Amino acid sequence: MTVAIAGNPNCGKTTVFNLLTGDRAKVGNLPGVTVENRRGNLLSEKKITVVDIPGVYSLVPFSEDEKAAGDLLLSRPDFIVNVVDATNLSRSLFLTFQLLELSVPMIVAVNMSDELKKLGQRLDVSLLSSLLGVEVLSVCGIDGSGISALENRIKWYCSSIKRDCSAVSGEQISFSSFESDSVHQYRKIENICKKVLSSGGKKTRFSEKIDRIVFGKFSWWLVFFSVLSAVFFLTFYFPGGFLRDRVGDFFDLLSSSAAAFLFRSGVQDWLCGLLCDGILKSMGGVLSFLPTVLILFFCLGLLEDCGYLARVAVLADRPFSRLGLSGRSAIPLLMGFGCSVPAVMACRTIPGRQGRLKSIFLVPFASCGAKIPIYMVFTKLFFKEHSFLVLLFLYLLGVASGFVFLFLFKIFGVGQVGDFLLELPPYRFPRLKNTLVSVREKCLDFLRKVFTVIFLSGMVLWFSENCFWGEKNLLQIIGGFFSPLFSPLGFGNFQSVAALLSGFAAKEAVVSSFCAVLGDLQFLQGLFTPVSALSFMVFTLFYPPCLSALAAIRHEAGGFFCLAAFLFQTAVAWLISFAVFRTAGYFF
Amino acid sequence: MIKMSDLQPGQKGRILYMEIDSPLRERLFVMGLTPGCVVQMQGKAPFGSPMIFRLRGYSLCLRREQLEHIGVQLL
Repeated sequence: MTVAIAGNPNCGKTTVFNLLTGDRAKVGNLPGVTVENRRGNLLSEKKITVVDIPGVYSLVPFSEDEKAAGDLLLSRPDFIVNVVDATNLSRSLFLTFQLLELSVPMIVAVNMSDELKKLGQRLDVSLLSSLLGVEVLSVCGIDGSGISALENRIKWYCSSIKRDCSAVSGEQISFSSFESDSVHQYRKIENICKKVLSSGGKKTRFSEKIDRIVFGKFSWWLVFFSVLSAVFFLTFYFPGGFLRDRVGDFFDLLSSSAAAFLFRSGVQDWLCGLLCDGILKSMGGVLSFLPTVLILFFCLGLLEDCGYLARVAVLADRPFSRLGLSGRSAIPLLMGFGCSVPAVMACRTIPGRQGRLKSIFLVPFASCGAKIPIYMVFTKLFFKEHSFLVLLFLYLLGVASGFVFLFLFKIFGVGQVGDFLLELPPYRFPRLKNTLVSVREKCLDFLRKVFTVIFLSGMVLWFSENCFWGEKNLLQIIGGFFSPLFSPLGFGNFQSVAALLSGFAAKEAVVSSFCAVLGDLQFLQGLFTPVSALSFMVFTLFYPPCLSALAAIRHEAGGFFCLAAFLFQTAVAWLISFAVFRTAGYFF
Repeated sequence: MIKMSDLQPGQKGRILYMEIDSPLRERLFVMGLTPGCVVQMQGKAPFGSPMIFRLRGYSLCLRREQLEHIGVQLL
């Protein structure tokens, strides 16, 4: 038995899904958070599969994520739960009527009645039910009320209906007289809304007041730049930077006491070396950055949850459309500062193939959270009190080069500007629970990486360091083979090559490799000068994203595009860090 | 009759015609922006585009260039 949860974007489908299945799918306050079908089992009846699908306005798809949703609905699930936003009734009912035409058993779940109450309006649920001819339930995603009733109805329906396998194909539903139908449909909906909604006092919406500042002629940049600097400050300075130092000290202490303990208990030298120098040091070196990375994700989550991220898309549309991109692309690009993988997937919401591919191409130019350890280690060692400025320079360099490439695309005539059409969600007070869900996910992901990729790479590095072939060890042979490539960039040593190579698996592994190879990050000062350190950071900023991001790109855009992007980015990384190395070398 | 892009913040208008090609045209119909529908201009982004409208109980953002092809009757 399959139950599909369908509804408009940002009406709270995923919240209902999470409550029904006990899942922790990501939610946010902007259209297009869910970009693929997600399955789960009903908590109290495991045989019933619940599918959370991307939000759609109609069964006619407009972008890739909507196509996935439309396909699933047209293949006729056994049962549909149509989630409807009470504050947005008339537009939501348009989809409801289309879903009714599928003649699949259905129930309408009216969400966000609490917000409707705040606007001073009331909804007559039983009248709506009799007018639509389907059962209507009121649910609340925030406190979970009405969910158990919904669950019982789902179970009841699923046990009583017999499976009818005849799927409707898209053509069977006639959208030919689409326009007159739509007008007619909306007229019908208007009448229904007039009957079921009691209109209350029309006060100016809270969101409109905030938007006057957020979109104000002069105040917009104040808001925009304070938000960005706040995120930057919280992540890199306090509490992010502060926590990193404390946790780093703790792990140093841990690994040195572990080494002392192993030594005293008479463990063989090579095993002691593998455990302490290879594994513990590299894992500890990365783990100490966990708080910092989580703070960044917490900040980005808050921006999504309160509704500001959708506003950024609106702000960005004018400059972006001049460069041949829709403002909607700003959402995945900003998400890219967290992690490239979800950002690349979020590009599905961008209508038009060319706009989508261009956005996917640009995502890696937003320096992802996994590169934070590299930047923090290097800036702290080589730039001390100026580290904040260098960090800012790196992020801006990434963004600026992204814009340059966008400009080049435009000159060479790649792609027209896609349409821009975005529903602006109301501002909502961010709910800690929602934000913590995405932080928790990131935390688990980080730990998983530490215990797999970092663990393995630490082991491999230790072995290749201790495996001699003639006079040289394996690391020197492999690293030495590639290092001439990097000599013009100022870091033609085998240690950096090893670090960069392991960075392909995960960007966190760059720092952990240095830990494993050098023993202590202090020794970086022997390998790099401030100028070559800068050039190294620039190279890591631009060089191709990690394997999982490349896999996501391949999945979304195809193997050829992925390979081209990979080669292109390697070339770009080399050229830009060469330029930086030469220019900086000239001045310092 | 004026163009939808000429509406000032707070002004209301009723849609008369839409000279827009698919797929955007279809999309607008689906979202409830149909001839006869009443829209209220809510504000615009700093560079004058996109513009934000209130219709059927929600806020919709559209690019200025797109709105120049929609005619409204000022209410």
